[in-house]
Amino acid sequence: MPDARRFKINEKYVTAKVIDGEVIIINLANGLYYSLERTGALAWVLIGSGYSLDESADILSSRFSAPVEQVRNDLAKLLDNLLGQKLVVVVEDIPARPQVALDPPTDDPYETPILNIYDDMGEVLALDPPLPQVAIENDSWETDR
Amino acid sequence: MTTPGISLIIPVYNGGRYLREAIDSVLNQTVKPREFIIVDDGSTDDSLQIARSYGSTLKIIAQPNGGTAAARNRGLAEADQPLIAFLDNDDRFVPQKLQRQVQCLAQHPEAMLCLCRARAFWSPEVPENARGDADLTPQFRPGQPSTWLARREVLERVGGFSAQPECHFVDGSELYLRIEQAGCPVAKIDDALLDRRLSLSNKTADSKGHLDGIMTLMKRRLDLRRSLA
Repeated sequence: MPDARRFKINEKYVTAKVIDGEVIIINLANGLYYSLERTGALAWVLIGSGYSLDESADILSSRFSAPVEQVRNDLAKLLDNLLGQKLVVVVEDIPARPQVALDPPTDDPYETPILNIYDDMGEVLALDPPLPQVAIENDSWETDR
Repeated sequence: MTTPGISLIIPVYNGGRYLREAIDSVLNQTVKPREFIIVDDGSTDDSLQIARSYGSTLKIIAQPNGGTAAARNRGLAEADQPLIAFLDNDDRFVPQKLQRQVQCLAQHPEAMLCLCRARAFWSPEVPENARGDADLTPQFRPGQPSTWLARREVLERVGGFSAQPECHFVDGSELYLRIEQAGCPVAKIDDALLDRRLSLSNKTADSKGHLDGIMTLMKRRLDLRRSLA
């Protein structure tokens, strides 16, 4: 079934940065860190930019010459994970297909995107937490982890 | 017992507003540093004049603006004592800070670094309604060099602060992780010996840049972990 939902990064709690082809994600609400490598990092950029599941699958399938059904299934699982961890949220107000410039293609093959979750990296944040304006909020917001 | 000498380093960039409080908190220490270095990192305010008003008490170094890490490294290069302490130009030591940390390192000769807790306080000029509900409970902040008393040899062994742009907000954390990764024992004092100022200038500091820096450190940590796997 076509999936035209669009998404955005859950900016209230989540910050992310792509570094050398890997996206590092911090969830300030639960103190967990995440990473997505290579294909996963591209998927994050697309989904976080407002591309739908189907649009993202088309782009990645074309880029890697991978079967679109396989990519779509992989992305559907990834999206379930991202939504479950509340790293992205569904948005209703992005009617048009967004435009985002991905890094130029490399020789890397297609890989099933895996959301790596780390619960032992909080010490890096604890070394010198940002000052109060980004105080970690431990309210009733909970993940499904 | 002869107290080992301390080189104290304050980097300052346009920090004239609070610099006197920082300097005076060092001069009021119950164990005073043998060497007191101010590195003016190209300030355009009155920081340099304020530092000079203390006369020969302070060793003043002026350099073109290069960032906090570069200023701390310059101070380190000039320092000649076996123990090294840092203080940010808007923070304050409590009077026993250096004494307690010297005692701690004497009791733990294996430790290369002594940490204390930092107690945040709102700078008086910050209006009540701008303060929010920040948790001011004293915290260990190992990434804040103002909470350290370090043996000079550990800083020489692992190298100084990273002046890379991506470490701009996390140069202390980055160096602390290297000290930890080098297997250097760290001692802790469970008391707040540093008063850490929350002001409008650092309240509005680039939190995005800070979080970007943390993500950079995490990426390096992941890469290191993979390389060791």
